[in-house]
Amino acid sequence: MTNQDSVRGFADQFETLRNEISKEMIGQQSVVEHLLFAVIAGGNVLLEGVPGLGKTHLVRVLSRVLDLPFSRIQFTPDLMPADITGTNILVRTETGNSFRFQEGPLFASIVLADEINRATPKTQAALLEAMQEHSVTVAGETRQLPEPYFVLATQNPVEQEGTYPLPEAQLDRFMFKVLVPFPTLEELSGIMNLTVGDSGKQAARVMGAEDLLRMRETARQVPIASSVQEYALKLVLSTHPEQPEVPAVSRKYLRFGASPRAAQSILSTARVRALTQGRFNVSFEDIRCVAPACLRHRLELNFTAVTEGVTMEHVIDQLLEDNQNAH
Amino acid sequence: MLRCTAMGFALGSAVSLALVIVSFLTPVADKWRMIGFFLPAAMILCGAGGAMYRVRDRDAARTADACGLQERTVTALETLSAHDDGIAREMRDAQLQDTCDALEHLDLKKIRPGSVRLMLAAGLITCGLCAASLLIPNVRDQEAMHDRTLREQLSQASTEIDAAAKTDESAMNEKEAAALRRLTEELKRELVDSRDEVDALVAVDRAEKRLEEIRQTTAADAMQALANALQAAGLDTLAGCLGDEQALAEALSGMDAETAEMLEQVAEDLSGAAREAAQAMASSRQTDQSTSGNGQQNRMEDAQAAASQAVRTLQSGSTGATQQALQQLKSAMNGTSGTPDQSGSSGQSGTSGQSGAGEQSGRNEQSSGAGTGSSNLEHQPTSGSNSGGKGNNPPGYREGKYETIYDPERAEVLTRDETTEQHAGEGDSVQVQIGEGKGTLEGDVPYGIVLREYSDSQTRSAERENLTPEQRTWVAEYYRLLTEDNGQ
Repeated sequence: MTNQDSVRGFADQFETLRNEISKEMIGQQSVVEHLLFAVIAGGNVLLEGVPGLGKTHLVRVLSRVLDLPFSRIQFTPDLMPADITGTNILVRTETGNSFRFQEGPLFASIVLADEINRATPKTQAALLEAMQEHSVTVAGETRQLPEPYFVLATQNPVEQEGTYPLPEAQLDRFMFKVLVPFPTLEELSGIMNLTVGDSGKQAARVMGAEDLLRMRETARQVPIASSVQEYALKLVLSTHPEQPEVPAVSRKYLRFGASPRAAQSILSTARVRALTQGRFNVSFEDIRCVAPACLRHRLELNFTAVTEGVTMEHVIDQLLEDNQNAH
Repeated sequence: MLRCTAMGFALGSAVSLALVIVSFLTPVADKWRMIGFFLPAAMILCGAGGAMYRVRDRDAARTADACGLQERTVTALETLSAHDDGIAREMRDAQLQDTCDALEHLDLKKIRPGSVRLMLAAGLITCGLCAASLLIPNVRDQEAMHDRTLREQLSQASTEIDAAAKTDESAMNEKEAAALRRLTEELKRELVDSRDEVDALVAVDRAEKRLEEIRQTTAADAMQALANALQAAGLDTLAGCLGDEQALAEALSGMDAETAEMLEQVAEDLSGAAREAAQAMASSRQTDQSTSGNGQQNRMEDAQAAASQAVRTLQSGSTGATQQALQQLKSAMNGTSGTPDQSGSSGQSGTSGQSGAGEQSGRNEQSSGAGTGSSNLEHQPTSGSNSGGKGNNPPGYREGKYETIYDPERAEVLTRDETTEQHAGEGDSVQVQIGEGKGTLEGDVPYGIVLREYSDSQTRSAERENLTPEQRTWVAEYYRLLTEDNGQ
């Protein structure tokens, strides 16, 4: 594929991906879209929703469409770090006994960490290196994970007993936190037809790892105007209540704000979105579209917000509006 | 350019409104003319400035992007000079082409003239406020108009005085003509510098005084010239009677035809007042010459009339036209001020207890030469409203130049207790202040004219008011002393 094809064919490739996934995923268009943004941008995604919404199925379909090795880790409280990273095992060979490294489920391109909040902090921490560095260190030896590499985690917002909330450091490693909504009646009907009836549709391979990497490289070249970038950066800064001249909503409802990774996430995924819209530059609209998913897991509401019943979505919407007016 | 023109309109309207507001505080001449000039001038200047202003590329790009281009133009502008390779270059080229396509299809109607509308609306509102100000009575506008009328009046009067002076100069000698010219020039300067009718009247009064001196000089010269001419013609008797009207009448009553002819010849050789006097004297001969009683009586009457006219003509000198022009100006100023015959009662001491009620009758008694009077009041005080002293002035009253003359504040205060009849036996008395007033009797103030009117009207008021005899005596004594001090 030539450079020109990469650039001008990006939107078509994206559309093909989305359509293919839609064969097995009814509705959830926004979820699918954000997932693809993050995957193309090279980030990890945290999916949050009640059980039975198809979160795991979505990841499976994605791996099939992208033709990437997939592994699923069901996190439980007794899961140990070695269970996911792999460990050295003793094997008998012709020359004698020796240790051989048995790769854990992290050694895949797409790792589905189901109910990640059930695992102990120690096990959760084992994911940190993999998510950030794309490598695993066991017994002092660092092993690289395959590229592209994504960790798609899920968590259940309802069952909080026996769970270990993810630490802020780990949450910050996720590019997006995508809320999976309950399907509408029409979507539910479609799901029934697809899953219970005999629809026969199955998503096929659309592209491979190289294509995905090329798409990532292409997205990174999308130019962004200084004013647009400044808008994104000011948005992140406005989430810090201790900063001067921040909107009142930050000062009143936020305990702490987003890290610079949030700004990186916003700009990377905005670039992807711009290309999917047929544009070759990032706009304010792109920033406003991806910002909520980038920020909702990186901010924390304070006691005032909790007592007043103010949601994170409300705070983020208000921040977007205040920054838009200031611009 | 449209935006700048709208800005000029808003700015011009704002300045116009400010000017209208200022005009309510101080008189502004030709206010609406200034607004009519400034408003379009501001629009034209700002519009021209806007046309010449080079719009920055970035501003133009932002404006285009705001029409739905989604930051294409701004991004293209920033990446225009970038030098990339590979995918980056391909991306930049694609972005530039995408931007050009979008600009080509840009609907210019989408460009929001928000600020233009806002400025136009602001300008229209302020213009509306300016127009609405016409519904509010503006005293200052009236003052400005009055001032303009006064200027025009004074300018016209200056021209008329100039023409009249030229007429009088023709009958004067060089020295007298030069003095008259100086007088008229100075008067014209003072009229130009006059702030109001009072200043103009002061200038006219001053000119009248000086004109009187010139009149006396020209009258003396005319008499001397006529006397010399009569003596040269051998009419010594008539020459000796010129200063005495009665003696002249007697001499003329017995004049024969030969003498009358000689008088006519003398008149031909003279000019101005001397000539007119000689002609008047010569005309007395043309009466019934019968020796009957009626004829003698008629001749005597004619001679009396001729002598009176001759004397009057000689005394009037050669300043008649200028004097008349000054009188006309004076009348015009008094008519413009609206209160021609009011005394300066606002400066009176409060102890006199006088009101302005009796002052109206003074208007009709001007034949004594008091003139039409001068006033330092702009508005007619209502009866009883002016109780004298400062601080009790009627609405609209404006302090004039005469105020200092009648300042009740005394330099050296002496007091005297006056016990009136009504208070006799009760131990009560009225304390009156006597002593010289603070004002000065010198300078250019027509004190003589004003004092005569003042004295007459106050005395008549005292007679009409319900005063005790002692109070009346006190008023009369007061003015007697005042006029005595002024040598009248």
